[in-house]
Amino acid sequence: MNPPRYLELVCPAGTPAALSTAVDAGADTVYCGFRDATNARNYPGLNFDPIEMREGIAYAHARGRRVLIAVNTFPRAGETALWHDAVDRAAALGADAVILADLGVLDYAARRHPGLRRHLSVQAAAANPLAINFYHRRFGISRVVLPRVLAVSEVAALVGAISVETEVFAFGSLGTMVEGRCYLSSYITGRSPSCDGVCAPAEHVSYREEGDDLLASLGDAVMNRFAPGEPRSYPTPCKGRFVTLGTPSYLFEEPVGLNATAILPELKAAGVTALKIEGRQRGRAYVAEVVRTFRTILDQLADGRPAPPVSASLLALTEGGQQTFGAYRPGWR
Amino acid sequence: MEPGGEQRSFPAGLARAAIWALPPPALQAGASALLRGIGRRHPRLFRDLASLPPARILIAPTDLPHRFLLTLGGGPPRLSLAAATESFTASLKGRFAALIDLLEGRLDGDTLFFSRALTLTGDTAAVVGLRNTLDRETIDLLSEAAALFGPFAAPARAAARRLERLVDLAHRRIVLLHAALHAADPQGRSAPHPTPHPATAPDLSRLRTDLDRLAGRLAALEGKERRRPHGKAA
Repeated sequence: MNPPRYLELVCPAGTPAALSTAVDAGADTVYCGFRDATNARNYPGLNFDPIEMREGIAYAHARGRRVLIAVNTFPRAGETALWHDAVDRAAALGADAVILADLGVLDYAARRHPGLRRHLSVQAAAANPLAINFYHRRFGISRVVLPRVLAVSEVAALVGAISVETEVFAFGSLGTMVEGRCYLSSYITGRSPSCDGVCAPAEHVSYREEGDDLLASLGDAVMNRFAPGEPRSYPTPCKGRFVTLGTPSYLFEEPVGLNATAILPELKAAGVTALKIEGRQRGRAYVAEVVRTFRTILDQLADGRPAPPVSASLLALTEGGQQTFGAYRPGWR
Repeated sequence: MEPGGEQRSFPAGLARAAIWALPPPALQAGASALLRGIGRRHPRLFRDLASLPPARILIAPTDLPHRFLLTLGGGPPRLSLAAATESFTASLKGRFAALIDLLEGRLDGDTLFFSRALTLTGDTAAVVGLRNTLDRETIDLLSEAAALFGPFAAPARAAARRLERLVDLAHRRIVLLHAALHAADPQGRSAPHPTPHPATAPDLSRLRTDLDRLAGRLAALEGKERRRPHGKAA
């Protein structure tokens, strides 16, 4: 595989077409999942069957790129077979690594497929040296995907205290909840991102026009009312706008997307190994635009040139049409 | 697996003009034939669409007089003109060009939704399933439309491109002319006729030749469509 020149660019693919798009646009690594509840983006029409996964891995490997398979949800009691099978399939299909969160699945993968690299998913919410070193010691993880709760200085301190690679989010949707621990939407829908791979299950989402406004609901609960001209967001409880004390406001999080393009040198200096782009549920047009932009920036930085100004095209892709550095900068809510 | 990357641009402006001009029966026949052609060239897409749960998705271009109904479930998908009172389980509303860009994978559905360029109502799971299934394949709608002309596909595609350029050029000239007129005569008392631009002459000439060649093919297609037994259109 080609070694990354600056930071490894890890890109999402929800479909085979998105995988080839990501590879062609300059991704070093692509991550994807099977068409079931074993990965955290389990939406209708999304993800890969085993044949598509085999073809996708062959496409990437032929071009010197890697493919990671996310098996990063938590098995429900008594239903571990699906998760074990997903790990077995990933190994048999030649994945470069599996991205795991559950202790039992990590243990299974470490015992059954010791030669298969294991990355600790953000869903494991491991954000301190004690936890990460435990996962490394016990399950031999090679990389941790850090939760989106750390400042750049905290990332740097963490990197110095652990002996595995770190991967951090650089672009995409942003969650304020403790990742892998959020069951908020399950109180409305009966399904959760942690166990079912869906935060706002499409079958529970509905939109209704009321005059010029658009009402977005999850189940029977209205999550937001968008006035004309107002950018929209996903109707998830953490990004809902609720009326409290008579005033509608975003209680948990404004609809906003993470964009770390302006602080990539800081992340590099902090000792980060890889950058993750969020968005397996997005179309291949999103993948093409984001990957192309990041590839250009990373190549410029690798050549010692300053990064170009933040791309307006990336802003257009963000939820709510707003972007943030999130927790990388102090002061984020 | 098809490599990703840039795709050719579908002449949405021209198609929109054609849809405005076509009588409903011709439009219905064209839509059905187009979908059949896509099914022949993308069998995996049709297999995936057939596996989606049943749904009746109303596709409503906001800048066209017609609406379309895509019926999923129980076999190959069907595309028809929607009556004003048509019942549906989900609807997708947006400008024609945006809907085409979505179909061809040039624009991301969530981005269109965030920016309000796309509105969906009803059964969200059906629309998400449709969008993700379409995004799995690379569809070149211009080639699909041109393929309706059989052996004349290449000249049809070239003619469409030329015509789109002319439509686009004419549109831009009208906008400029309008701005100039408004600046010179804000009360709008005079309105001179625009004259053909010399830059368009070679395109116009080639276009006439192409259209003459295509006219015979179109007549044959219309005859074939008329002879088709009722209920065969998919």
